[in-house]
Amino acid sequence: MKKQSTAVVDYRMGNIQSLINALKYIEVLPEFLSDPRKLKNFTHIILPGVGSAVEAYRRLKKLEFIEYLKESVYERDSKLLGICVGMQVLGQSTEEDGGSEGLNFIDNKILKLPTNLDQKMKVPHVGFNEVVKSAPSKLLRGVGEHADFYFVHSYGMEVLSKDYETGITNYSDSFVSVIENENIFGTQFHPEKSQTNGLKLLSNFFT
Amino acid sequence: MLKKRIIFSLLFSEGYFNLSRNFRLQRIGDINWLLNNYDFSNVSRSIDELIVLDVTKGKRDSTLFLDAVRKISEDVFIPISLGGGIRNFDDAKIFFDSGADKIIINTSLFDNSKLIDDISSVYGSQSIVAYLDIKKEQENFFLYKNNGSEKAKVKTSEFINEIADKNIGELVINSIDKDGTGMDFLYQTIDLLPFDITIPVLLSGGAGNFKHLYSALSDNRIDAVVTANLLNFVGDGLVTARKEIIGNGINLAVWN
Repeated sequence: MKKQSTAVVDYRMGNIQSLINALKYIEVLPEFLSDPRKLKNFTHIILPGVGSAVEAYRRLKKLEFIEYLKESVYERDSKLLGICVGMQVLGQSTEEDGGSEGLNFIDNKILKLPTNLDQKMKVPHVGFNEVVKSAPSKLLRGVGEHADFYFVHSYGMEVLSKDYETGITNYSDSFVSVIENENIFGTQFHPEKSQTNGLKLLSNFFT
Repeated sequence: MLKKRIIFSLLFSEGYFNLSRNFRLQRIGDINWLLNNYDFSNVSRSIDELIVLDVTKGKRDSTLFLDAVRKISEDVFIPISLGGGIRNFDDAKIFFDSGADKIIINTSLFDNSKLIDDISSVYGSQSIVAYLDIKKEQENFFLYKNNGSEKAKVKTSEFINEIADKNIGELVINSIDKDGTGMDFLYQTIDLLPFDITIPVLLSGGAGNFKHLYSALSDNRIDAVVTANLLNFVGDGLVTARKEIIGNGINLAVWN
């Protein structure tokens, strides 16, 4: 079996040191990758991201990651994990800041989270909240049917009730917090900030 | 529904971590002590967030501080807030670049409140924690700045109302009188808050045992409790406290 190798896409979308620390903790030594042509050398690709999904997609496009990511996912069967904004760009589109298309690996759109001030549910949604397992899941293996993870975001993925929507979270309204579509994975929360639940989830991505 | 939180706060000054009592510091150990003898990585598995403050009186050495933060964060997988001496945007940027998820502001709330907008326009309001040090004198409450050394010339309730409306993510109310005493939180400080506050409120100063944490977290106005006492919850103290608090029905995050 081919030895796994991991790339973290470096497209300047937020600090990724804590992600690197978490990967090191589970004994994965990733390479930072800013040259999309090298994606083909990796069995596992992580797309991090903090901030705006519109900006994230714009940078991926500018750095020519779009077609190489698609090639890796569709032709080489590389495993891709999008985290936070990195998950949002896997969808069809986002309505953030005037809107943007996404990588379109899945059909879901990214919508603004609703606010509910009566229940102190402000946007951004920040803090530990519950992910409810909604379909058989590889990523959530060993963390339970209801597991807590750390979120920081203002936009969320719409629920289309598809089999690949494996984790759902409720905050004013429901949104998709985990996706797993064959070799395409995504988490709206930050596993690298989610204690042992997050470390477990990251390990699951590699096994 | 968001979970309530237990937050640990580390007080760093000139290369050492400290106990604080009414803002007087007592050196306990350096970074090696914290990581090896105190086993902080293990302690961190029982908390929801970490605050690290540079509480140096006088001139701070941010390189020394951030080196320690970097070492701590290698094995700690929760959000980290950093504070101490943030006077301008660049100070904040260095903290964010060093891995801060949020930065903590105290003195600049009074001296340069425009800084809040400068930081929130780049990093978002959720990344700003306003930290209020409160002292009770007779039956009145006063706000302090510069590490609790200087009384701020503001009207307490009015100022808290203003701050609560600014572009900040959350608010810490810390009692200088109860700091480090372990004699329970000063609940009167919560009454200083606007009743319709929409941002999370963190209560700090005076936690001595799990019952204090539990009572504060039972208060529906409080979203999180902060403890800075390195010695109150030694060994598996926090593991036990967390279990007890969850067992008593508080909605804390559960990790498997």
